[in-house]
Amino acid sequence: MDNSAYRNELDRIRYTAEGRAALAEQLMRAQSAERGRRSVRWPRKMMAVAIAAAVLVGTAAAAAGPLWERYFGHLDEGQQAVIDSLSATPETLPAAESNGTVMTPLAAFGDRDFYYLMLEIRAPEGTVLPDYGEEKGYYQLFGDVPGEKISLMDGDGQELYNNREFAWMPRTGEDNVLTAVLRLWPAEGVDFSDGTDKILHIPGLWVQSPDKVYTPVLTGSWDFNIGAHSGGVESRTPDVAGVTVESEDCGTMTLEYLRISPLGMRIRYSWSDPVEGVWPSAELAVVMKDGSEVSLANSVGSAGEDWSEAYGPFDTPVNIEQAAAVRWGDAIIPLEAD
Amino acid sequence: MVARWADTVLRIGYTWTGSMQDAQDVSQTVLLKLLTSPRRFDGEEQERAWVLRVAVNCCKDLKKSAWARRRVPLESAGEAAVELPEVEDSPVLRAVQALPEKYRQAVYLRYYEEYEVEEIADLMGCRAPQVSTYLYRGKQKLKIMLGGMYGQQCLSE
Repeated sequence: MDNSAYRNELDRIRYTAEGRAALAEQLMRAQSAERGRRSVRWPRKMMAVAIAAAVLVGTAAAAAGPLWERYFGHLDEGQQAVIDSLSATPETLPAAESNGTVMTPLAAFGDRDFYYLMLEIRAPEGTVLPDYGEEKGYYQLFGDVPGEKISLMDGDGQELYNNREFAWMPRTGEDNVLTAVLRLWPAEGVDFSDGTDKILHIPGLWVQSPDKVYTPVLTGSWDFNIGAHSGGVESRTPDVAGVTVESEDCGTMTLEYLRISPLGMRIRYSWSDPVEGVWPSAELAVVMKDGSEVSLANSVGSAGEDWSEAYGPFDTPVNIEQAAAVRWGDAIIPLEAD
Repeated sequence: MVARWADTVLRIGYTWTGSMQDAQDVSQTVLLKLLTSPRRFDGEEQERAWVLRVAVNCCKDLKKSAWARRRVPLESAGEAAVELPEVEDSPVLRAVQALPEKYRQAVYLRYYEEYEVEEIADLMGCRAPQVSTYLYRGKQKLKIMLGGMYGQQCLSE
């Protein structure tokens, strides 16, 4: 038996002739339906822009939830309330202009550990920012040399280490407009909600080709002070003394620290029997009072021979008042009500 | 296009979700996306990479209830839509499907798609050392499930 056994067996999963024919017919019908929806797309986008404008003129709190559904998908009342309680006000995040391009924060919210910024990028009138398929490249808010990077600095100009990722929102129909959502997660020691200056610098817009060649599209300097607000919901650091999980290869894992906020979690743990090249882990999730679980959307961290630290955001904001516990592997850490 | 990618996406969907019904949903979603957002690729390898990435993301979206599915609900093609090998004829497949989710995904990407560890890490949204761990543990579990030399040979490098 060689390593093609798996391949041979998996290759036997396939559509039947009848299945392919039915699939092709259904796809054709769906494609026709999709064309019909596109013909009314512009009015829906206008509505989204109108909602964004309402945010900017300060009727924001009630509108922020629906606006963020463009990014997160459906948000229940509790989740919308979390976002509203953590939202920055328009006065603290004015638009920035450079070389004729205006970048406007449409909405923003954050707590101690995570920050979300929905940013409209409006190039000068008459500029066409084409849609790139993945075969041609991607828009990026950074280039490939120093000085062309997104940065976050404190009021003294010191760089604050952080992780950042962003996603492009569906186009509005305007050729010179893109909308991005940036998600920032700082390293330990950086608190987004402490009210001190944190200047987010956007160096411009580039196109990255599939073979990673960067071509500038819009260059300049756009700065936003995202530190000028304080988060509404405190993080929780439950008592984790004695919480252990058995790993498969590395002995007993001991949880040393856990912090949970409505937007994500951070943990640190160690293990008793290090094995070279193996970093044990256990699944991490929030257990809600209704029994459902919420996992992290992504995580980063660092690790040593016998320890690891990981942190990351939830897929969507969590109404922490409805969280009962944190599950780490098969260990349950109750969350006490404040 | 259906002929070229339907089975591939079906296999990815089945590996990721463990459910043939969900695999068919994933297949429909990905193929509709390919149909309605046409792209030009420089070759089949590039197209396959795109299809794989979209399928993996679609499986993640299926699992995450927060994201709304952007597809037209499609009627079922009926019970005769797909073929699945008999249990007794596919011991390796069954064993891989019994692995924990992350191990299963890493094993599929390494031993079926033949991606390198760094590429797998990018697709799975985790770090390369984690992928190495998933592959190491996955093979250990397969050794136990399939027994001795059979288990070791079925996924030899």
